[in-house]
Amino acid sequence: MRLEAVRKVYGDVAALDGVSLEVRGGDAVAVMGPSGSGKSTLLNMVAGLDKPTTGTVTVDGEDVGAKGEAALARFRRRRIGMVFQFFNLLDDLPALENVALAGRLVGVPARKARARALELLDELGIADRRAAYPAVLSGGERQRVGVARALMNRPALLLADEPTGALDSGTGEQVRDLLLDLNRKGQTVLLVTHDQALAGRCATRLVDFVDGRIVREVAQAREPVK
Amino acid sequence: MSAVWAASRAGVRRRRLQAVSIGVVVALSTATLVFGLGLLAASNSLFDDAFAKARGAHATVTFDTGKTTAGQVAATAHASGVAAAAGPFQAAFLPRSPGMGPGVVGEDGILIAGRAEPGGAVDRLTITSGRWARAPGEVVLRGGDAAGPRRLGDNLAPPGSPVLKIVGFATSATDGGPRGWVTPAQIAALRPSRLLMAYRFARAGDASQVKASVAAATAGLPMEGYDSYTATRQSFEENFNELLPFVTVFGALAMAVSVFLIGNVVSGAVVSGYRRIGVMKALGFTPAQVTAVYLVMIMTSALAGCAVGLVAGHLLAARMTATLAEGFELPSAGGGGLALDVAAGGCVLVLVVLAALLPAMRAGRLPAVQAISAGTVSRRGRGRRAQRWLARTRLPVPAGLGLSLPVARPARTALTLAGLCLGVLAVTMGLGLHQTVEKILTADTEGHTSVTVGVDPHGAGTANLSEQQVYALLRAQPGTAHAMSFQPMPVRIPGMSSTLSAETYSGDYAAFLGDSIVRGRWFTGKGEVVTTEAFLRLNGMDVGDTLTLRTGDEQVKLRIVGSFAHSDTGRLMLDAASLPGSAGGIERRPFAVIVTPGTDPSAYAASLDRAVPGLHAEAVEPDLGGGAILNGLFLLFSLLICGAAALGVLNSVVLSTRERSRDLGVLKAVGMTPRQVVLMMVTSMAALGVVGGAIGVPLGVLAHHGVVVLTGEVLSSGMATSWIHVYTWPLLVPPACAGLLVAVLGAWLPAGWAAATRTAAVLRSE
Repeated sequence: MRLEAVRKVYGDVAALDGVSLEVRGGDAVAVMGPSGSGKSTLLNMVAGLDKPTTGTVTVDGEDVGAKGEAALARFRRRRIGMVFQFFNLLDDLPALENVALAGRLVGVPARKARARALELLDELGIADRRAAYPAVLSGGERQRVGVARALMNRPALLLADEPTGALDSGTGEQVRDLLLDLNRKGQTVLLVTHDQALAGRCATRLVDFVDGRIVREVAQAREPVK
Repeated sequence: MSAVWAASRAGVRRRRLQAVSIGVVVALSTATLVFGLGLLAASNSLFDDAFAKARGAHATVTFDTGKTTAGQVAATAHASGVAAAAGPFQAAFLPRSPGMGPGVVGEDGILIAGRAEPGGAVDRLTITSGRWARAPGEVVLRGGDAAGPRRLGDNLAPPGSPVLKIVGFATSATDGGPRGWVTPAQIAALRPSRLLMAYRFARAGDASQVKASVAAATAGLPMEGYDSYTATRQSFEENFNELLPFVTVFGALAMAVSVFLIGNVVSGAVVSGYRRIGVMKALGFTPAQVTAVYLVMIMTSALAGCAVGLVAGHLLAARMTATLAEGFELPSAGGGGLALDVAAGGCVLVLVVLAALLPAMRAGRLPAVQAISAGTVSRRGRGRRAQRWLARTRLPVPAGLGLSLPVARPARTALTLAGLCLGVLAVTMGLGLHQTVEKILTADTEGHTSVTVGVDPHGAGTANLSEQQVYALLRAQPGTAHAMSFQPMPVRIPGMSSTLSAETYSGDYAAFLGDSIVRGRWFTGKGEVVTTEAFLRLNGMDVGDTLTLRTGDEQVKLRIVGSFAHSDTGRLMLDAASLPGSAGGIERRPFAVIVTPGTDPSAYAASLDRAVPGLHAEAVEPDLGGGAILNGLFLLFSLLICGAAALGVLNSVVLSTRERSRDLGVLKAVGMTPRQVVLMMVTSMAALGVVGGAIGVPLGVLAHHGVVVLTGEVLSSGMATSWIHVYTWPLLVPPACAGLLVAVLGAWLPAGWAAATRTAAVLRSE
């Protein structure tokens, strides 16, 4: 994934101001910074949820900014997996169907999609909660379902926006381990977080944002698992 | 109070779409209600209003110029009991010529009067097109320019008289009297032989009063006769009463849709604002203030919509009433009154208040936290099983998710579905009534006749032909499929004073009789009679009974073999051989012909005219004017009702989109394309459209049957089976699809808005 001189302006305010960043396959990059520094805007640009005012965003060789809405939707299905702070599960579907839905959108037959979803839930340790609706799942369980949904179509890039932001410390710990494990298995991860522990545990590179600009970018050795 | 006002104003500004939506719905509902009520009110008094407005003549008396002078006739205007008078107008009878065409002439010709201007104290004429006659050579005809084959600019060329150019058409509330008007100078050149005097009397409540008033006014002056307005009113009422059940039912349907629509939109607006209500309560608004905020918000839009609807509905009713009046050749008396408009508007506003008050009060009583959470769609257990099942089917994801949306909001779904059902019902019933009306209008023998044949009184040849000779001539004529002759004859039932009209038929009449049988069958030969259903009911008789008729000195016994749908209690139909003295040549018995398929009736008539000089043949032009008005009404009501149903759908999708903005954002984030979002939202309503079609069509068929049968009962005319069972499978396809079409059209626009939701903004707002 590559951002080149990306600038995003809302009215008179530049949310991103000439940002260039490259994330290679297998990287785990944590973007950090104070509120309003442009972290989420960066994530939206990469996911194709928003378009840069100037500059280019390339993911897996595709120019995201040049795509139309329908093409962007297809791009997100295939290339991007998103994990949200508040999980954003569909309340009316049970866990298994929430996960399988992402596969069904790609055109995977219902039976196969459910099999794959169950496999993912099993890997994440919540297969026994597959029939539960989001409302009755704990925060950690919901986030695991969210992660499973993000991984459903084997995305090139997993984007996580404050994935531990709405979780208690114990559950946050579980999610940190989960993301670390995924990255170790080869999943490219781009994290936006305030959580120092998450960044220290999972990221191989730290990027600090202030006022829409990258002020620091350093490689780091992951903290050992306690 | 200022806090309530400020919050209300902010609410209206913040939710412009919702405010506009409520305004449009209330406008449409008000317009429909005002239109329906106005039409009903105007319908009930259409004749009386038009008659009063035009100061119609209670009686038009005809005097012979050979026996009375203009001065003598003019003096009657001052007679006792005469409230107002107009005339005397000189009148001339213009004999018919082949060039004058049908629809303008009577059996023998046309009565034209000399009149300086259309206004006056009595019988004010309304010019419907063109202008009043200003110079010799110009004529204004009674009726509208669409009522007959004649158009503005055409010429009338009566034999032996100057050519008259049609410069205008005018309607009169008085049916009797002349069929056309020329200038007083022109009438002198047309050899006037009559004087016409139009009167309004102080006492003219019924036929006997009119008769007494005429006698008092003319005071012994010899008169040829007079036309009473009571006969016109009775004839009008007989025709017009057929309309009332249809208008009433459609009006009631439109009102029902309006009620559902207002309930749906207004309560939906309050329910979708629960979260805001919760926030207001958290800020310190009391339950009463919360309720007041929502009432003010909704009433602001509703008042504006109501005002627009009142004006639109009033204008629409006035226009339709004018069209109806025109159809009956009456001057327009305008739509419903102001009081009726105000009452209709008040009803709508009360409905809006009730629809808003109930959920707003409920919201006002809810604890703040509960109100906030009640605004979200995640209510546990609502249709979950259905949603889960749909998610597991092999349906495409947008379709599966779309189908599951309606179960999340059962009350809203029920209201939307009810609106769609009523829309489909209206379309189904409208189509059926259209078929029924067409069948009724063509039910008489005239409806099946292509060409009428009679003696030409001004023809050069002789027409002293026997019935058999005429049949031979007609059968020899290329293009003749069926031929019959008919003659109404006065008959009596022994012991009863009233005279009946027995229509006697000879020849190949079976093809002319049509499908208006209510009970039994048509007569097929001597000794059988078919009466109107109204006759049977009035006299407590039944099919199979024997009916004794007296004609002249002879008495015949006939078996009643059937009844046909008609409200006239004095009509009988039978074979000419059944009644003594009904046989005769063409001078007594006009003929009717049905031409073979592909034969042009006009060309046939012209050919027959040339072949037999003494005969005059005329192609019959179907008079579907009344049907056009009715069909226009059905169409207008159907469109209004379907429009309202579509608005209900639109509102449902708007609310659903607002409530599910987060879900839509999530779906788009995981890869749902805008087109799939549109598909999902449209599917959610299309499903209701299909269900609405499935429910609405049978209901519409039942409603049609009920209305038609009821109309027959109200008029005591009965209804022929073929007029009730008009639906065929192909005819049911359009209404069955109407629900789907209305649902898709109503959902399309807001579905597009849903697809354009900015995902990043929605997800960030979490």
